[in-house]
Amino acid sequence: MAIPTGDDLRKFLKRARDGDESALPVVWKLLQEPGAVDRFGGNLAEQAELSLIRAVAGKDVLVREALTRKLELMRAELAGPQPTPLERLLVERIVACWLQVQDADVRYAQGQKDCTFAQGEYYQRRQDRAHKRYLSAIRALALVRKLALPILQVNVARQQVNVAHA
Amino acid sequence: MAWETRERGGRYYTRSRKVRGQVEREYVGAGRVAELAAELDAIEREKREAAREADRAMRAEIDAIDAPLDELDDLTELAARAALAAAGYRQHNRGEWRKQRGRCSEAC
Repeated sequence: MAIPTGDDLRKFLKRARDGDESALPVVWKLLQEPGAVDRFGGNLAEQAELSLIRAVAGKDVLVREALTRKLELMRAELAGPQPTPLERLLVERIVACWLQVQDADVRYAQGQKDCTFAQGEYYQRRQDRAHKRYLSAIRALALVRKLALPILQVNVARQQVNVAHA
Repeated sequence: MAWETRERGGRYYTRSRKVRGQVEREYVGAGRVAELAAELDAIEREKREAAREADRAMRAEIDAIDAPLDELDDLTELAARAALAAAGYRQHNRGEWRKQRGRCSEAC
């Protein structure tokens, strides 16, 4: 069966999430193929990051480069040596959410000086949402790693070693 | 804010505002004083409108910045939930994810 794209893909994922058995094999196949995941999530992650980098750095090239490097480091650290396609997607989300938290914090701090009460409230609500979303993104990656990836536990000379099943 | 024309002639400047859900009208006066008060009110109105416009522009700018992340967040969450479902898990009462017996797919 061909892998759906765009809105069809979204509908398909919703069907799988809601327990439609017929959608599950295709979803599983989709999540195994790096190219397919990149097709629906990769570009979106790139757009989200670019949009936030532009917002945080403005025209400052140095800040832009520093942020780009920081994101690369975070991505590498969170993804680990052999991430699955889904993990890579979840890592992209965490990285983008972290960037949004930075932007929200800076805007809120700057807004303390010269903004109306309504604007201050708006900045604070955005900051709260960004923090909540960031934590939720981290939880999702932890959950997928804990549940979706079978782990083989081996005890070698009283030391516990977890071996990921590839 | 309004100018009223009286039966005896002449114009009278009034201000209306809501106090505890009721409209209250304040009678400011007539003549030069009223004209000055009307001008000051107009300046205040323009200031408030400019502030509202700036507020709208600021929100629109931030919404545009966040839009791609909103979509990424939505789609990634959906993909993660779909993957867990494909691996045979179901979320119990919007909390813990539990493995369902006999509903194991290729993922297991």
